[in-house]
Amino acid sequence: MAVNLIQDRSPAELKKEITGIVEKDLRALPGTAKIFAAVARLQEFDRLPEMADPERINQFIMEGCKELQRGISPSDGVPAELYARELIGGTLHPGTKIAYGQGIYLSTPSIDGNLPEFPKISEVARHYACSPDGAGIVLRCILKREVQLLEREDILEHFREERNRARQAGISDLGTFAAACGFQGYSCDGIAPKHEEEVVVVLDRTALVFQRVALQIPQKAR
Amino acid sequence: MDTLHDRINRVIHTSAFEHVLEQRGIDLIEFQCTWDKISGGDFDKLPQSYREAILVGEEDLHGCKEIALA
Repeated sequence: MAVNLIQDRSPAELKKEITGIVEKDLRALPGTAKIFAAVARLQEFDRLPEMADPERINQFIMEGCKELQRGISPSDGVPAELYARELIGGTLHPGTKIAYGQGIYLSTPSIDGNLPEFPKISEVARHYACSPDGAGIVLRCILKREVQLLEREDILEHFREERNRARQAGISDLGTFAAACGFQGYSCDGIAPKHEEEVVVVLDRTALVFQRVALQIPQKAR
Repeated sequence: MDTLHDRINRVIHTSAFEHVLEQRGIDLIEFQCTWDKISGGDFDKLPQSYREAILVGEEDLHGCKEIALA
């Protein structure tokens, strides 16, 4: 169960705990990414998500769970499928594209998919899966019903109250701060102004149930 | 198509970007919470301080690339 690390520990204690984890993290990642990974570990947000068949995912959606999709493209010669397998069954890899803060970026689908496993597809997810470097992947999942998403304004309000403690603990990123407060995710908009799709940043991987079947997106022509 | 979101993603880790925000007294968290709402995705609608941070970050990236190629 996540706690509010910002309030639960002194800034010095929290910084020491984070630093201890970061020092053992030998991955070639920016410092902010390693700090997020450390906070995710302290909150147990890095544990593996559940998996389900498409039929079960459809059932979750019919029961009112929010459907979300994630687009993944290959990069630096690493196929998208490998990133996808890591996201659902491997170590939690913090990202480097953090305009909305650290976390797992997902979006709600809006266009017809015409496939039993993908009745709808997210245009934003498809955009981010589409690459001239190789085939991309779109993952489908649901957000567990009990998970509460915050708005960024709410987190900003928390941050203004806890600015000094967060800074002293070495936390400067939106997703990392929200995770440290114990929040599992937050909602964003504006990523694609022409779309109606909602963009969600999930901080706790266990808040999601992933579909066992993904969608491959063909390589984009150069 | 290169969006403002893509531009920010590229520069957000540069020390030059961070430095400008710090000089202007803006927290990264505040930037991450507000840039899209203020701009609607339009770079020209961003406050001067945000635009400067992005442009300086892009210059920083450009400089890094030139050194690597040499």
